[in-house]
Amino acid sequence: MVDLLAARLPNLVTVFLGIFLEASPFLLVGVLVSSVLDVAVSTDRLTRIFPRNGVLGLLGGVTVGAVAPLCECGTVPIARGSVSKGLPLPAAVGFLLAAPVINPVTVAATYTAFKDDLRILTLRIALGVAVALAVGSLFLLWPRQETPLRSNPQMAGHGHSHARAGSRLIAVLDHAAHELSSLMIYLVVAALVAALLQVFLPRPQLVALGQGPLLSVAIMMVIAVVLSTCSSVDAFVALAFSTTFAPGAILAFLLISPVLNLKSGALVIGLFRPRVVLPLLSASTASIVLAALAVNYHLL
Amino acid sequence: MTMHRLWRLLVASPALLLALLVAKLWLTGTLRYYVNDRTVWIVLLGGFLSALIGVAASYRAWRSSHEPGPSWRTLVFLVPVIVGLLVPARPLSAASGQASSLGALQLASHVSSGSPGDNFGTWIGALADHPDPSWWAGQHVMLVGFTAQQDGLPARSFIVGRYLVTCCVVDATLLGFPVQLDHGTLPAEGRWVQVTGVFGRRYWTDPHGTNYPLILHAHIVPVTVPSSPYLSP
Repeated sequence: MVDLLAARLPNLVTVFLGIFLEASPFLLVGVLVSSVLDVAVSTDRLTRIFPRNGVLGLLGGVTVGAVAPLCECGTVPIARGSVSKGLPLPAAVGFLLAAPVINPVTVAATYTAFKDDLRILTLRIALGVAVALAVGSLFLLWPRQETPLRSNPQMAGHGHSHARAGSRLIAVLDHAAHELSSLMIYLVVAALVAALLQVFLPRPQLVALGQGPLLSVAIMMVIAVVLSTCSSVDAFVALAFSTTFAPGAILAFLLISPVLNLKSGALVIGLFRPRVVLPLLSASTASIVLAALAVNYHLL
Repeated sequence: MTMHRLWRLLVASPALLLALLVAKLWLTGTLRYYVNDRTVWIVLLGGFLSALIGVAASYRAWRSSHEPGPSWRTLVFLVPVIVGLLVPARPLSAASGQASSLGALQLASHVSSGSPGDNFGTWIGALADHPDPSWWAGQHVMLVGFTAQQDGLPARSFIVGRYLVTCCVVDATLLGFPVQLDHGTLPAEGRWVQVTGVFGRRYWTDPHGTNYPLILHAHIVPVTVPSSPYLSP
């Protein structure tokens, strides 16, 4: 055991730092956008831009997600910042679920990887939108006066420093520094867990655990959570499994990876209240399993 | 400046240390040990944004006489940064658990030819395009990669391989060719080598049923890790 650890420690450090370095820029962009929203955009303005109607707001959130070139590490802080400024929860959930799956960068990468089988790209976009709309609509019933966000002691009372700072730029950077410090813990812990699982739980052993239309979906979803690959490139990882697993399992990987991997899952759990996290993650998982099984048994 | 004030300044702004880590890895040419060539600019952008945020936080800590001490969240943020600054950078090696067997051949057709003078990507790309054994037989080849072992390889053989990295090392997939030695001892696993040889008519079939042409009459020379150790799509 000690020998194994010693032999694989250098790779553990490399994978840990690799995940951290690759994900940090997206988290930084997300934190900066969220800070701009917090400091420079008034609640009135944001709620004026977005439709008050819940269904239209949800459609708006999904539409904004389709054009925002951000992976899941960036979208979670933006969704949180938007909600704290008064954006209705269904719109934020629609954005949160749609953006990493159907943004232009992800679509281009999926096209490049699967240009020999465009059904995968088409179904990823269609099912990604369907899951975002289905899960987002669950939150149409969320009472507006109840906050869906966890309280963050590190950010509490932070507004005082804005007044001292004087300029909006300093205020944005100051807010971003606080938010970064409070969010980075989720990324660090997720990167460490993902690196440990990657280095000590080899992919071939996971693959060997299950085949068939049902089990392959479950295994590919576990692999997606464990690998925690950035949504902008996960199509290439899925491609490596495309001869081993059924198309539904590949789609399950492509749909669940941006929504519920160790990085984004940790951020969602850290920022939103359990009353939001539980239905969000369980409904997303259930709808993706159903969509994948439908593909395996009926569509492809 | 007292040590206490310097420490307070550092922990007030882990973002500044993150920027320092990115700068260190870039200046020492080791950033490509962690991310793909195409992703380097994204990490550099992250380093720039981090520096911007870090300078603002440090400025406030410098001006403030009653800045609170570091929170445990800040200390967790510092862990990867300190590890990256202190531990020598190393590329992913053959001992990796997650990608210890050769990846699916569909990926081979997505590998770019790579930098000038490094033809590993070109040969790997040819693997997907030319399943016919007669295309390979007799072709001279020179490859730089690390050595790896696989189940079912012929006697006195090893894989000369490189990782295909699409974004960062988390998505690494091993690609390579089997090499069979005429004589001599096998190089240690994970060692970077230059292999010069000739493709033979014989194939080695991996556990997934993929055929790989064997490199024969190989001459092996140890080399240092290339500046871009990974293949790109």
